[in-house]
Amino acid sequence: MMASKLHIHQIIPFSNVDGPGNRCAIFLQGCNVACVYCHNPETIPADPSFITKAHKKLGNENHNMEFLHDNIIEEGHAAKQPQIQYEEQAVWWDVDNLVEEIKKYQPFIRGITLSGGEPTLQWEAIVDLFDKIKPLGLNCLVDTNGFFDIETIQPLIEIADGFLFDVKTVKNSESLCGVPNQSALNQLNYLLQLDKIEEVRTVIISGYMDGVQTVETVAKMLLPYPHVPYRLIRVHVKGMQKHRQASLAPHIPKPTQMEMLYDSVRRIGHDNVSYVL
Amino acid sequence: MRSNMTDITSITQSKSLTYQQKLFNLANLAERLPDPKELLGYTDDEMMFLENDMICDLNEGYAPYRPRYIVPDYKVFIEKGCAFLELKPPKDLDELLDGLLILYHHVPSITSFPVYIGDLDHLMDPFIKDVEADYIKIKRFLNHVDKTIVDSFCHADIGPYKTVAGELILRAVIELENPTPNMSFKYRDDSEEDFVKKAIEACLRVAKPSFSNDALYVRDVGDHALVSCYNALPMGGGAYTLPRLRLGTIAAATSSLDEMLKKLLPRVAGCMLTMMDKRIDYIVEKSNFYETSFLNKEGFIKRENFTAMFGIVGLADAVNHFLKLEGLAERFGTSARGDAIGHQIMQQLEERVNGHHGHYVERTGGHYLLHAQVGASLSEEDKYNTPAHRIRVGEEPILPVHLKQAAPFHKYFPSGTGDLFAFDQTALDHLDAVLDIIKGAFSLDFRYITTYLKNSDLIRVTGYLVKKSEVEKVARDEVVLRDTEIFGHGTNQAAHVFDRRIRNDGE
Repeated sequence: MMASKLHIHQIIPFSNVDGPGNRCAIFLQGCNVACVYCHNPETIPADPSFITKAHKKLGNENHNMEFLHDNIIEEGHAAKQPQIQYEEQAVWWDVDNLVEEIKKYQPFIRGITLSGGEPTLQWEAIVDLFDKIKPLGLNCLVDTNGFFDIETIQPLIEIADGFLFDVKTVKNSESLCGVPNQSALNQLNYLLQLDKIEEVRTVIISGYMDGVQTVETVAKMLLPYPHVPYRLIRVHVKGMQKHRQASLAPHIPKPTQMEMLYDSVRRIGHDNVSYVL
Repeated sequence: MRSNMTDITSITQSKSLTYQQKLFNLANLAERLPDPKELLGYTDDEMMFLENDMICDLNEGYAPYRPRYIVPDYKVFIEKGCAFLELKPPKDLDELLDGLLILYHHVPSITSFPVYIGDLDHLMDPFIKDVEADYIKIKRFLNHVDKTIVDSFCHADIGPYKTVAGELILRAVIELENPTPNMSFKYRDDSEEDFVKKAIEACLRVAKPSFSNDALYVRDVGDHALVSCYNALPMGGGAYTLPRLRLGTIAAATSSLDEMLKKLLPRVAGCMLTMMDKRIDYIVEKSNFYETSFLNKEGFIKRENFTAMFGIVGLADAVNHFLKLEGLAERFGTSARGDAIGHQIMQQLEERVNGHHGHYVERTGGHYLLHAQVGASLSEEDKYNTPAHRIRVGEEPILPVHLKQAAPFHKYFPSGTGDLFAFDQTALDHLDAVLDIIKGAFSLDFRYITTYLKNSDLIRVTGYLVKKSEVEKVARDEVVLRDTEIFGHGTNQAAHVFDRRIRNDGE
């Protein structure tokens, strides 16, 4: 059996913001979209081997790189090859070595969370990792944008304890994420039915997405699942390069708009909702 | 150290001491006037190690007239009242709190203030009737303690299990934000989670309570209380004396680990043990403390419940000395060889201390208890002796590694040790994560944990780090995401509290 490897951008031994309790958070390299508000754009460039048939099926195999160029990297920026520049930090880890690394953080962590980038791009290696981590009594969660093929990543869906699910937008994914025709609603529904959704989130930004429609659609989907929390997060631009701050700042929603969205979720009947300003 | 007559005017004429402090210092001075060779029978060797700073007696006197730490069993007051103070057993919360405050005035210690004021929740809970009215009384009581027992070594215990009184005490402690009393939560695996989390919140906000591994202390000391800094001492008893070895200073006088382990350390340790014997003999046989103290006569304390503490500081410095001698560019805290040396030193001491026939310490199996001492800067040498078995400040590894390095050393110190860990402000919203860490530490046989909040400039929200000061400083073209695999590690400068909590979607 070939040793599987993960392309990792960063490991954070103790994190309290990537799922419940104290967890080891592992940020993978590579994403299949390029959201305008991304705060880790250096995790976007993906190793070509990650682009599988499944992605071609979903149509998101390379378009994100153009979007990355156009919207995230500054015009005329010296680094025209973000692959090289941004991937400098990323390291290939043998899954077995990663398991040993995670063991060092026991008994202080209750689980691990795979994030990134879009971790499902490396679903096979993650399955191998979870297979070896779960017997240690650690809870295994995956952060995802939901843009995956259910059939293809079935083994990951089965083995994961849960997903932290980001619903980016329910229509016009190109405007927000740089890749057209992407939808995550079927995937969300599927995971909800399996009781594998730990939490749902949506980042709210004006102009690039329809906040009201997105939030209301999700709220309705969550009605049969009152125990699933929905978190609405206001976009921010702190720490971004100047040109991005300039172009995105006008799209930061006002607190009252966040309150309105929060209220609409509750009106629809899903009480388990919160928002972050 | 011995005092002399000229020290008197330096106290009486001091511009920086209050009346109370002058009074206390004069008493301490008098206690240190007699020649210990005459009065206590100290040998030349014992005096030499005191004078060359290898042994530190924490300025305890040479004519001790009371035990260093007294741990009254305040339950006696509830059952019998106090005859000496003409107090009947309390019938309600008012009488209990008033009675305790009166009692506290009469509990001596090395600082003249009580180092233990009770397992407060156990004492108070049977008297709780009207929650809101009683809350006001409890808060007033705690504030009274802070303003009259002006010594942060005054210590109260709560736990392990949830009670109304315990919850009210935590609520008051958070609201008051007072330094005194110091507090410990006696934690057990089956302590109620919501009660523990409230205690963690208090610990982060107001630096108390700390958490003791109750199962371990019960195993090693029996019925006990956490007192003073974090000392575990027998309930209804206490400790006669606490001197300490400056391991850094001792090591610096040797040119090999072998010389340390086989020659100098046994000699100095042996002297400190016999010194302790003599001090205890004096307290028990000559000072008449137990004969004249109402606390003893009425059963708040019993002479048989007293032990004595053999303290150490400077383990890190001793180890660093030997690492250097071995030609290694490693430091205690991040060195496997360093840990091995540290354990060799501690095992030696453990054998010595446990093998020594202690005087008047029936309660702890006839021997003294090792203690990892913290605080007290009484000599230049203390700069070269890091507290307890801690790693030198600034040399600590990241939190998970630090916790695992420290845990194996806790076993040597049945009368107490404590480690301090910083958490940033996100911890307040994720108490379950802090609890995970505390549980993990105790599962490795940590004895005691203190956490504190250190507001960080660098905080994480899911998916990325935000450095608040970066907003002003973004000049580079790269998105600035500073690398930190550290959660709660104190490398960050204090900064303003991040008022907008922000999260991205993990991309």
